[in-house]
Amino acid sequence: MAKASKGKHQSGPSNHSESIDLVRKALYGNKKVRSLKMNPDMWEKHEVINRAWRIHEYRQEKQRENLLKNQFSAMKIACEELKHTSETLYKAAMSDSINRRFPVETRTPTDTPPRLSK
Amino acid sequence: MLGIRKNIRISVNFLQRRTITVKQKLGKNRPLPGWDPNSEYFRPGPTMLNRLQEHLHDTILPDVLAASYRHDIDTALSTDEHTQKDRLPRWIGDNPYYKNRPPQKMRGNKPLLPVKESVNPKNLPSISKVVVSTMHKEALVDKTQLLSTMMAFRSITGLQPEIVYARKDVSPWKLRSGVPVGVKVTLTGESMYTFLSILSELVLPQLHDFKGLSPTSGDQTGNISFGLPSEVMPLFPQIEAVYEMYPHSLPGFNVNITTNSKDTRLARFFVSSLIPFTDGNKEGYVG
Repeated sequence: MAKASKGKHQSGPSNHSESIDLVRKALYGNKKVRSLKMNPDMWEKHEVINRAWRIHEYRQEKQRENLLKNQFSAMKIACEELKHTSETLYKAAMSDSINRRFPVETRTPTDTPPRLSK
Repeated sequence: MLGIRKNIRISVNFLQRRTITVKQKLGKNRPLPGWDPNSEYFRPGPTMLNRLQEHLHDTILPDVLAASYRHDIDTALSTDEHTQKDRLPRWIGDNPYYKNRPPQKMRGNKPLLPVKESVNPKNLPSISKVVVSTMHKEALVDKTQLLSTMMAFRSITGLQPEIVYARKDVSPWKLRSGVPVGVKVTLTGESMYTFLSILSELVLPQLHDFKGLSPTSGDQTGNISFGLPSEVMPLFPQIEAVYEMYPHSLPGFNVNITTNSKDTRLARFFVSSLIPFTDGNKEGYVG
């Protein structure tokens, strides 16, 4: 389908060269990269906002690290207790799976409007 | 309590691509920070919340930490090479010719691979960068064929691709040194997550022949590579609507996912949350 349409679209050589020129113009046409024009007041605002955003990112990262550390320490405590409680369960828990994979059904969650129930 | 800088700088009209000057090397004139709009590394953003990044950080990494946990592993006792800081075979002895002699090569000319560590919250795997590259064979005959490929790669990645030139002359392939043969895009940060989410959620499910990545893919330093055929290019939503407007045919491409993991199996396990492998559900979670 796409091939037939493409062949039909490229009937004339002038059309072909026009498409090539259009692509070349889109890729290399505008060379100017205009910088932002900011007066001192806007500059101060920009700097303050960036510092605040970096602090926010740092706090988020610290929170995530703390969560992982808590999980890790909880696993350590639980496995230590399991080791003293039951040797069989401990060996089963520590068995290494070479080709461990996430399920194919794993997907990124999406926020969608709720489905209307009838 | 934020400290505001005293000397306010007025930006120029056009971007100045600054190189590292002598003063910067001497530490007297520091380069512009990344948030400075005049800086070479300035990227406005983040432009939106990244679903894939949040999913990887909040859901996948705790699962990887739980699944890869090993209790009471003392790495100092596992193998001898873990304790050595210098793992190259050195010339040891009182021979005067051994002094300052370069170390011997590894047996079989093998490279020095990174030392594997047990997974802990500090060295959880993460994707460092994604390199998308292709080689267009028709570009050897006609250079303008590469323009469509560049346009397509710019559409699907959002970044300007760089041209890959041939390094050697190979006459059976009509290849000459310096001829442009392909394009390459290195994705990091937000554009990387955007590309990966589009690839794993929209493009690969539509590819009928795609059964998953090879379970033996990846080198021993945590890089996962795979190739996709040319039929995958019109499946991208950026190209689907305007596929007929491309004057030349579009090739497939190679995707190289670079993770910071030092273990191939851990890298495969982490990447399988995005793109399935052919042995997807054999030893995964039950139920």
